Parts: sequence; structure tokens; C-alpha cells
Amino acid sequence: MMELPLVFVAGFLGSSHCVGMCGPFAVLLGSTSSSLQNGFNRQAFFSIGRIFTYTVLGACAGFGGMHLGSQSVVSEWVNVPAALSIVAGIFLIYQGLSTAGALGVGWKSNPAPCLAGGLVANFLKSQHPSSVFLAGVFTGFLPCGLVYGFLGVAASSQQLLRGALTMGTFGLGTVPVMIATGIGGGFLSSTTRGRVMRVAAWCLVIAGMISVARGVGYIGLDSPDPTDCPFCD
Amino acid sequence: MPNQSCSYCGLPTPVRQTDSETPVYCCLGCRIAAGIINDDRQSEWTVTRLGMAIFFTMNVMVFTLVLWTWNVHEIDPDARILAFRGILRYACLLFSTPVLILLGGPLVESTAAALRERRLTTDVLLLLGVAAAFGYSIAALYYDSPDVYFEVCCMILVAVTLGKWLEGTAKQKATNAIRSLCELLPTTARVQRNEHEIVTPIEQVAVGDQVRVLPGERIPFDGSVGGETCVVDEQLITGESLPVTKHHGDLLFAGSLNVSHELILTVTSPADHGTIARLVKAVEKATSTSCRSIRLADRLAAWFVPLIIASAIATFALHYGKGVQASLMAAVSVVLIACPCALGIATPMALWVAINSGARHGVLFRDGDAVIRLAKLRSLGLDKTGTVTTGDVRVVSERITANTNTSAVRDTAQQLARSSTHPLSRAIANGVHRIETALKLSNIQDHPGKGITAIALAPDGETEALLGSVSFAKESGYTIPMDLSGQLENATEHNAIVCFGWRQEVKALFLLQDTIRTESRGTIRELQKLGLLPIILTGDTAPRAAEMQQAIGIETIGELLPEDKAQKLAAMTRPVGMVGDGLNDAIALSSADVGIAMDCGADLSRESADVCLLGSTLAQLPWAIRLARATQQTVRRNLVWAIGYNAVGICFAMSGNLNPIIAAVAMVGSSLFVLTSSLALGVAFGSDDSVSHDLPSEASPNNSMPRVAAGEAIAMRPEVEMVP
Repeated sequence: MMELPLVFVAGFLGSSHCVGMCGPFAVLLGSTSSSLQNGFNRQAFFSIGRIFTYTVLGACAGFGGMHLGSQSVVSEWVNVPAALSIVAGIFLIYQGLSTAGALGVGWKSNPAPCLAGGLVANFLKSQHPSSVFLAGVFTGFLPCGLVYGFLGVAASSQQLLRGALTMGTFGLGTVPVMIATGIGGGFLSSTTRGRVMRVAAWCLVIAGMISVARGVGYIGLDSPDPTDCPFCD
Repeated sequence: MPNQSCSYCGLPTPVRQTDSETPVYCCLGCRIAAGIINDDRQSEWTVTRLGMAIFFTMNVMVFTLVLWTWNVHEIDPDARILAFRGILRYACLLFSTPVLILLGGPLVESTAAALRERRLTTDVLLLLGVAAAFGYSIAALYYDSPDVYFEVCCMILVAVTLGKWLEGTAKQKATNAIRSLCELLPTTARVQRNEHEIVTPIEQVAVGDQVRVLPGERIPFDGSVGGETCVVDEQLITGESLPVTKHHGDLLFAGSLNVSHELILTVTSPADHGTIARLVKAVEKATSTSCRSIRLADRLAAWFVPLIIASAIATFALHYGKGVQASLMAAVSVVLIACPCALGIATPMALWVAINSGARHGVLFRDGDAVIRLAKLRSLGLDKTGTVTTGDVRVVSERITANTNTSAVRDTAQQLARSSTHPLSRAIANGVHRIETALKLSNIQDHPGKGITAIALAPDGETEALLGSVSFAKESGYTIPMDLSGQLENATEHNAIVCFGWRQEVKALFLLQDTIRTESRGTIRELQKLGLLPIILTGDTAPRAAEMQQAIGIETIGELLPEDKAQKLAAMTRPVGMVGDGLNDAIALSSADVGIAMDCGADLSRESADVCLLGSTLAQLPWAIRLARATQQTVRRNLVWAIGYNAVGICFAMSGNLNPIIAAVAMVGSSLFVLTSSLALGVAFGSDDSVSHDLPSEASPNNSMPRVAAGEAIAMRPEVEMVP
């Protein structure tokens, strides 16, 4: 439970990276809105759609983690909670470090194949709130390292509700920046954005380290309960 | 009877079109894909349907996951949890009903349409599976049993609809190569009228108009060169990378690129009848003509569906002992994993891709069977003209007998020669035509391999005139005057000799010579490397044939009439192919297992040929053979996969261990595999070294696309993808 605020912050700061891929959708939304108020409403529906998808994915991830850990063949051989937490943590650390440039390899943002572009754009241009909501639902499925990282954390919680909450919080964290992008069309200069990206990167690294720490704590425990605070005994 | 073409992907569809206004689609996937790129109200609804269905399905998935959680943890159920469980199950029903209506509706429609035409398609199986799962779940609710399978219905419908959309997109890519040609033509042309030049849309340009084309522009119409000599690049049509020089009066193809200075052309056919437009239609005809391979696939697929239904019933009976639920789910899995679509599309898809890819490189196949037959070739007969020689025969000298009107003889000979397309006739016909001094000719008859006869109106009455080989003249009873017979003996082996005369007397001898091409040696080497045994069959004299054998290095048989060529072909290792021009050696081409005609650029097809090379050299033939062989491999691979996958999948499903959702996803994956494997053929033969192509999105007047780094190419690709 305790890392949920951290997840929110990571989502908030990490969403500056989201602007690369999902930003164009928000801008398209903004440009087809009739007024500022209308634009804000549509951005809100778009984000609600995205959060809906993230929450459902989080629930599935949590269920997956639980199923993996309980009665499957895997749990005989592997300490599943530990493994899930450590893998999720390592993935987040890797994401953070490579975004920060610490790994030497530049961050290449691969644009998604434009099958999605064609499908989503249709919805975005429509004025009906349900269409915009559906656009957000689709956008949530776009491949994104950040999303996968936190899905890993959601899976490691091994609970439906906990997984859904993790991803929902992450989604909420991305909302302010996305709405701002859509309305303002990018209010951060590129240098500021660079600095924010670096802070976000280190946030990811910290979140990853917490996850790894929790995983390590599970090793040696017979039936670990993921609700325990990792820093307590 | 040829089938209709799908309005989205351009491939044949068995649906009968009722009127020409409504678009007709070959499958649900094409309908969805067309809906996504179109901008009208109707299409929006198609896409919104899919979106809403996905939304509802996601909810059903979460509800189901919660239900499963309680099953996993085996919590002692107290009254509250039991009540909540009941609510969740009804919530599943509530949220999955819209999915059934939204996505199941179109499925029911297309199945009903297919059933009306007495075709059993995959959709029947899908509907059965979904209906069984849904029906059982409702019954379970009614009897208050905990096992509901609403998520199965929803996931199946979503997975299948998405899969069909991807299939539609893939099919469209198969015909992309040839459809993109039309987009290269300019939309306006500079028409010269009465000293003014008007920029006109190409639809409004008429036959006979003079059009100015600047260097670097594509020629929008078929036409003849109005001004002086110019150089054009005909790669789009013929596949040859070397530019071609065109002289005054020569024909230009629509779609070729002007690479020299500006040229004026006189339009000979309107925009929609230009070479490119006719090429697209020819490809459509080739893909829609039902050939043996495709009919076989259809028959295979026809009895497949009833077999699956029978297996499903058998599975149900087999597992009945374990309870209705287990046996029903096993039967549903059997129905869902079967993929008759993979079986049905395994052969046609690869053939369609091959036909399209070939047409893009100047090789037109008559139909799918032609591709397979070309792949199986073991030996090859070549006509001399155009393969070994340049095709340019020249009159080296003419000898006209004394005591006769020289100009009348020459001009009449030329007149008569103009009525034939034989290279020797064309050489004689070249030159200044003065019709006034020529004799009037009628009743012109062509004798293949020998010559032409006609009735001439000579000053002293009607008589038969003859233009042909020396042996033909002797056969017909002509005598050769003393002054000419001397020339006959002096003629060297290099020359072909054509006689012309009337009233049973030869009046003139024409000595012609052709030149041997040295670059064709490379092509012949390639053909040899492909394992074919090329042999040149020619009507030339034996010494000339021997000389050619020396020069080129492969067996050359001379002094053959067209019927003799057919005999020789029959004696070669079967299957045997014959390469010629399709007109003068039509007999030989028809008698071969694969007839290959060259230089078909102007008319795009020859009756006697299975394969038409649009260029005037053999250069594309090795490529075409490699394409055909790769196609045959792809067809085999697809069929092995389709049959193997179905066999293994159905057996596994019958064992009762297969989850229905996984079965549906696997089924979609299987047909996508077949489609991708066929498209890979197009990719492998789309960008070829021998035919250097630009990216399809060329809009700049300079034809050369600068080399881009890989990263930039990826960034550029979205624009290319978005062009329908």
C-alpha cells in the first residue's frame, strides 16, 4: 500500500515521456474542441478511458500474479511473489536508468504502428463523449514501457484489487500532464522537459528498488503476504 | 465465370453483386477495415460498434476474474459472498449481451448471406461455438449453477472480429503493389490547343490531343511521339531498368518516365484505357479467373465444416461422462479451433500475391495455374529473335531484277510487308512509303514460316504476288531470273533472304541481317543455373544456327518451321517452356507446357502465352521463374501448416484439455500465419536488385529518392501506411 503515492508521483513525472506517444492524441482532441470548457471535458473523458484500461489491465495482472503463485506448476519451483517483485523492480530500474541516459544507450521512442492511429483518430474527432472515452480505452492498450513496468508491480501484488489500484493510481498520475498537453499544446520548454524527464527517471529507479527490496524480503518466507510493508519485520 | 472483386482488397469475392453502387466485400474483415479508413457515418458506426464491444468485454473480464478469485481461494462462502457472486454473474450477462448484439450481429448477417448461396464458412462454426457457450451460461444462471461462460462468448467475438480486421488489412497489402501504380500517374496534363497550352485534368483529354511532358514527369497517356527522339524509362511497365530511346512515331506507354528533354506526345487512348489502367484490369482478371489450384482448395474447404461439426458432436458424446459442462466446453473448443479459412486461403493467397508482384515487375501471368506450371519447368525452348538477337533486322541490300519497274517492285514489296508483324517483314517495310507506284493489293494471306501472298493488280491484269522465303517461292512454282540467281549463290550465311515477285517470277531479293546480342549470354547463364536446359529453336539456315551456337554457347537448332518447333519441344524434358513473341510462333507457344511471350507492353496479353513479359528482353524471365518457384514453396508451406494445424488442434481439442478462448485465438493466429507467409513472398520479390524501385510515395519530379537512414525510414513509414 505504501508505494501507491510513489506510483502516483512516478506516473505524474513519467507522463512527460508519455507526451511523446500519447501526446498527439491529446493535441488532436484539443484542436477539434469547440471551446476551452469543451476541450477540458473531452480531455477528461479521454483520460478516464485510459485509466479504465489501465485499471482493467492491472486487475488482470494482479489475477495473473495470484494464479501464478497459488496452484500452478510454477509455484512448486519458484517463489512466485519474490520472483514477480524482483523482475518488476529490475524492469523499472532498467527503464529509469535508460531514460536517464545512465546506460549509454539513447532513448529511442518507437512510434506505434499506425493501425492504431487510424482506428483512434476516428474516435478522437467525434464530438460525442462516448467516442472520446472509447479513444481513451484504445490508447491505454498502446505499447509503453512505463505501463509494462507498473503492470509488473501490479502482478507482484498478487491481488486483483491491489493490482487494479496500482494501475489506476498510475493512470491518475498521468492525467494532469496529458490534459495540460491537450489544452496548452505543450507548456514545457524542451530543456525543462528534459530535466523533468531525468527526475522522473530517478523516480522510476527508486520505485524499482522498493519492489526489488520487497521481493528479496520474500525469499526465505514460506507464504509471504504481499500486503506487508517491505520495511517492517 | 470470373468472380467479383472486393472493393477493399481487390481480391476475388464469391459474393454476387446486385448493383454497381454498393461496395462488395470478400469478408467481414475487409468490411471493417474499409469502415475504419472511410469517413462517412455508416463506417463510423462499424468502428464504434467494435469499440463499445471491447469496453463491455473488459468489464465482463474483470467480473469473471473476481468470480475466479473466489474459486481459486476456496473461501468458505457466507451468505454475503454468495449473494455478491450471484450479482456478478448477472452483471456478466448484462454486459455480454450488448457484445453479442454488436459483434454477433454482423457475423450472423454474413453467415446468412453465405448460407443463402449454399456456402458453409468458418462463421458458421464461430456462431455455433458462441451460441453454445451463451446458451449454457444462461441455463446455468437459471438453474443457479456457479459455472458461467459469458467471458468465453465475449472474448471469442472480440478476438475473431479483430482477427478478421487484420486479415482484411493483410489481403489489401497483397494487391498494394499493383494498385499503387495508379497513384503514380499525374492528375493533370499540359494540352496544346491552338497555340495555347491548357492544364487539363487527365479525364478530359481526348484522343488526338497533343500533350507536353517535361523531363522527370510521368507520361499520363498512351501515345505516339510527336516531336523528335526522346528517352524514357519504362521500368514500371516492363521491369527493365535501362532507359529506352523512342523515335518519332514510336509508341509511349502511360506510366513511363520521361528522362530526356521535354517531349510532345499525341494521345492514342484516353486515361482510363492507358497501359497502367489496362495492367490493373489484367491483373484483376488473372486473380479472379478460377484456376485448378484454387478450385481444389475450395472443394477441400467445402466438406471441412460438416466434418468439424461431426467431430464436435462426437467430442460431446465422448466426454459426456464427465458432465454436461465439461463435454460442452470440449465440443465448443473443437468447433473454435478448426480453421477452414487457413485451408481455403492457403493456395489462393500465395498465387494472388505472386500475380500482383509479377505484374509490378513487368511479368503478367494468365492465372494462378500459370505460376505453378512455370515453377515446374525443366527445359526451355527459345526463339531466336529478341533473345539471342536484338530483334532489329535490317535490310542489308536489295537486288531487283532488270527489265522491270524498280520502284513499283520495291514499293509493292514494302506494301505487302507491312501487313505482317514478322521481324523480316517489318525490316522490309521500314523506309519511305510511296503508295502511288505500288500495285494495288487484296486478299492478303499469311503463311506462317513461309511468307505472304496476295492478289496484285498489275498493269496487265490480276496476278498472285508473293513475299517470302526462297523455298516458299520455289514450292509455289516461282522461277528465279538469271541475274538474281547469281546473287543467291553469292549471299553469305549471315543473311536471311526474302524473295518478292508476281506472276510466278521472282522480281527482287532482299538480304537481311540481324545482330547477335552479347548481353543475353548473362541471362542464358542464369537460366542454366536455375536448372533449365535452354535450347534455341530458329528458322534460320543451319550455318547461321551453328554460328549462333558458337557465339552463345547453347544448342541451337536451325531450319525449323513452326510445326517443327512444336515437335522439338515435345521431345525435350517435360515440362517444357517456349519463349517467343506469341504472334508468329503462336503454334509453338501453345504446344509448350508454358508459353512465354515477350514484348507484350503494348497489348499486355497474347492468346497463346501463359506468361507475358512486358519488356523486350529476356531479363525478367529468370526472376519470374524464381518467383514462381518461391510461390510453389509458399503454397506447399501454407497447405502443410493448414492441414497440420487443424489435425493437431482438433485432436487436442477433442481430448478435452483446450480452453475455448485459447482455441479461438489460435484459430485467428493460424489464418494470420498463412496470410503473413503469403505476404512474405511479396516482400521478398517486391524489392529486387535487378529492378530498382523507388518507395511508393514518390511525389517529387526527381525520380531518385535519396537514401535514408533506417531511423528516418521508420519515421517516414506512417505516412506511407496511411495512404489507402
